[in-house]
Amino acid sequence: MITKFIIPKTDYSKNLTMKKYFLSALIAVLTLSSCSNEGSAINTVESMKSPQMENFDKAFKSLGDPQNRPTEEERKRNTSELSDRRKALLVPASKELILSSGVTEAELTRKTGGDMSQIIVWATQIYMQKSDEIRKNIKSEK
Amino acid sequence: MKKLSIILGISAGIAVSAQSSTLMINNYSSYDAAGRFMTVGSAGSGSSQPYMYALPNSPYTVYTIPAGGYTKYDKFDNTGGSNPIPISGWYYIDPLNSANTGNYAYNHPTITAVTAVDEWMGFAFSLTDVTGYTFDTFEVGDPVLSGGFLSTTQTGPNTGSSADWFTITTPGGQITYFQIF
Repeated sequence: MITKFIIPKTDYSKNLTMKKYFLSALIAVLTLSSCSNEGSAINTVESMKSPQMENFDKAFKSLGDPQNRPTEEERKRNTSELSDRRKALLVPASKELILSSGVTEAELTRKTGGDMSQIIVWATQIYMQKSDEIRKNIKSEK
Repeated sequence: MKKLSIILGISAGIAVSAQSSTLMINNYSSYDAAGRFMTVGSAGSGSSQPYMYALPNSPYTVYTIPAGGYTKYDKFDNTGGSNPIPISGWYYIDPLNSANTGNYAYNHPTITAVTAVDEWMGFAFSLTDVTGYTFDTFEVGDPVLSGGFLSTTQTGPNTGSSADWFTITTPGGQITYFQIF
């Protein structure tokens, strides 16, 4: 940047002092900004999640609400696969998260065929990837 | 010949994707969950396939998912420091050759070899507070793979906390979820 300044020949000595002035100002700014970086280490994964990630969290957490707990019948099934009733609770937030990643509604329909499992698994992959990115950013800030 | 190799390729792809799926864990409760975190051979509990228990994560003396904790693991041989709750190694049990049984780092070739064989099975754990006091005990996991030893859901009478273990399966693969509420 500094080399791009046009230096008028007539005023050379004044410009040297200007340069010194700029340099000390630059050092002061750098010192201050490095101090303020320490403060940003307070950033947590929670505080950096997008609203769509937060809603995805809320949807999974809602499986613990009394009305969403497994029914007697669901408990008796000899499989680990989540019931369709409880999968349906995860679909709206999953769709929202996929769309927020830049995927279009048409693409979402084409790739999943509206299948609940495919929508939830896709959204989970996006969620895990975004969480990793946030964690990496926080680490590099520190 | 071409057809055969395509068929073989597809079936190999299915066999690989059927094993060692991604696991996502959320402990929404205000208790630490400490205990035995288990894998099992795809043929199920009691088979001759090797199985594993997670070694303690720092700073705990047993594998612990702290209150409010989140983590994910994609493969057994990739459970190290890149994950929010790292598993530094596994206690590996080989029913066919006890000389192989012992502790291995997560990235040891033995663990890589078992990645193609094993599945996440479940978690037998206690809900504790920071002093280590136990409020409730749980045995949650895949009922089929565990041969009925683990259940998909359980509620602790003292804490009112529930734990769910479930899978969501698609033609392209499966994700296993473990949640404590």
